[in-house]
Amino acid sequence: MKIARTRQLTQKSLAGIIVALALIAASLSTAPAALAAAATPDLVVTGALPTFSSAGPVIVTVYADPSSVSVPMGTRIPSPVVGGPVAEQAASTTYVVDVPQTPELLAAATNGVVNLMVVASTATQMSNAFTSAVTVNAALGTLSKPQRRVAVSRLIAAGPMLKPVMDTDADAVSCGWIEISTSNNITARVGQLHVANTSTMIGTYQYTVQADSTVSIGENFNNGPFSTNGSDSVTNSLGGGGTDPHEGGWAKYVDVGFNYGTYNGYGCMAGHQKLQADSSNADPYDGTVSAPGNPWGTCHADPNGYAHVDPAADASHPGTWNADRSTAKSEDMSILLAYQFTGSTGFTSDINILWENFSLSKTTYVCGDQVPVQNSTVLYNDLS
Amino acid sequence: MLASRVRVTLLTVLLASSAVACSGNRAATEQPVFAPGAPSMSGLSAHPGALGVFSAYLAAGRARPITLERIVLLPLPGFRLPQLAHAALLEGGTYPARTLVWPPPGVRLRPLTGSVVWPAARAGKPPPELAYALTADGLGAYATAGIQLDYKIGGKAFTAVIRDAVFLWYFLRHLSPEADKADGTKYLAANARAYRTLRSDLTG
Repeated sequence: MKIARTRQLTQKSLAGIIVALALIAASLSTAPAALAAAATPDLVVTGALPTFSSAGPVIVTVYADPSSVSVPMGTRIPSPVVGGPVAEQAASTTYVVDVPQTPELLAAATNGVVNLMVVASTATQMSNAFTSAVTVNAALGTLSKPQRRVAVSRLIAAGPMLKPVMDTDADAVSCGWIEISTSNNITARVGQLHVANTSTMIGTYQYTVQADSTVSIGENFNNGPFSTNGSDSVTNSLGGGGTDPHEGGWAKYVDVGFNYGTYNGYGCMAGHQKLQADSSNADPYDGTVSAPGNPWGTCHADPNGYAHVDPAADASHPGTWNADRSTAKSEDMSILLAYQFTGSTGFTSDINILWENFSLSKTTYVCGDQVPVQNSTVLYNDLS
Repeated sequence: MLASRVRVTLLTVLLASSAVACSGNRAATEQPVFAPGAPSMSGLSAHPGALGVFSAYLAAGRARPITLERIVLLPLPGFRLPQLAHAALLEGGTYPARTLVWPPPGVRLRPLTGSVVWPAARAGKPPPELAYALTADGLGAYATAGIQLDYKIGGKAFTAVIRDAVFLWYFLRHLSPEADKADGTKYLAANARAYRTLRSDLTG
């Protein structure tokens, strides 16, 4: 009895594998020529799928979204925002989609960043579109992150939909976003500046021309509340970068003006609306809210150790300490249409803090939650 | 009942011994991972003849005892490399402000070569810390891109890079106030350039 059941299961599994192979073969044979002829894949997008109640194959399609970054203020995103698919594949409970490194994909990158949008669909159902920012080294023509996990975790639209993407020609796919309004210079929290409580210290938060922020995307359906659905990357390309220096006794958030767009979905995204950061203004200024102080009280009490900002040789030669915040703390950035954007800034480059000590006798200290100190998500500067 | 307890005990012993065997095997094959991390740069100015004394933590993932051998200064492109005058392991005390002499007052030092350390924070205390003194025979800017640590595990040699970079500026005594101010401006500009170079050197 048990043997018979095992055999039955094995036969079912084999049948499942055969069907899956047939589906994959079918997808390869019907995929657009540009995709089929692509070179060795450089990027693998993986994730889990929700349970589709409808029958038929689930097709996972990856789009490159050229709307990701750096649109000058007031400029309308050209329609359609979402271009044709850059990869697609049949899947079941999980998916592993090879995204070939095509010229089209590299061309979709703006300032080295392209947002990949992942949609899973059957003949009658589709998933929400989940977005993930991917860094592209356009100069070298390569994708810098070989694997990207994008969670497609829920179904938000049901009922008759378009045909599965795999059954259509890529050029005929009508699916994307149109920007309907912009909200410019909205205050966005990008970091914290802490300067020890002495008049001889100066701390400078430097938000430079290559600063990058990863910002959540808010999305709703049928005018419901916005909820986070992926993130995109915003590069400061509008300004030359800026600094925000302060004398001692300072512990506040640093803000930057961000420009957000409101988008309406069309085609397979009809009924959806999203809020997305378009660009930043590179104009760091003081936040109005004080940032929480050093959780250890002093740097000497920080179990991760501390760095020294040595005293000055004289009034013109301060001791200095520079650090790059390679791993920034995620902050509540901005609120728009009751949606709270969250994000972190400086993961990739060019957010740094300089401390200058003009005291002739007193060392100050810099510490945080990581070893070495400069890896910390927030850097504290204290007198002891 | 007793037999069952004996079986449980035996199983516990077996599991414990296999766990020890596994961890011992892993320890024998894995070396500590010194992640260079983000760049940082300490800046200090001094008059000729003074030493610039700096420190750096030894922090690694997969930490295990290592035997320190020596440190080597890593050059920063476009800047003169200072000379390494002294290096030691900080054993205790409070690292003094703006230390320009060796040994630094107020601290206990241990010779670097041959010292065995656990390169990680433990029991709420920071990782072990190196102190080292630099010198140069000219005026103006000197810089490093960090230090290379040579160490051994079980007689086998390894190296690690620690990205605690240093900027050192030597300037003349008794400058006029105007000349001193002008020199300070050059110092800060060179310091900023060194930091930019460090960052671009690391990010390629």
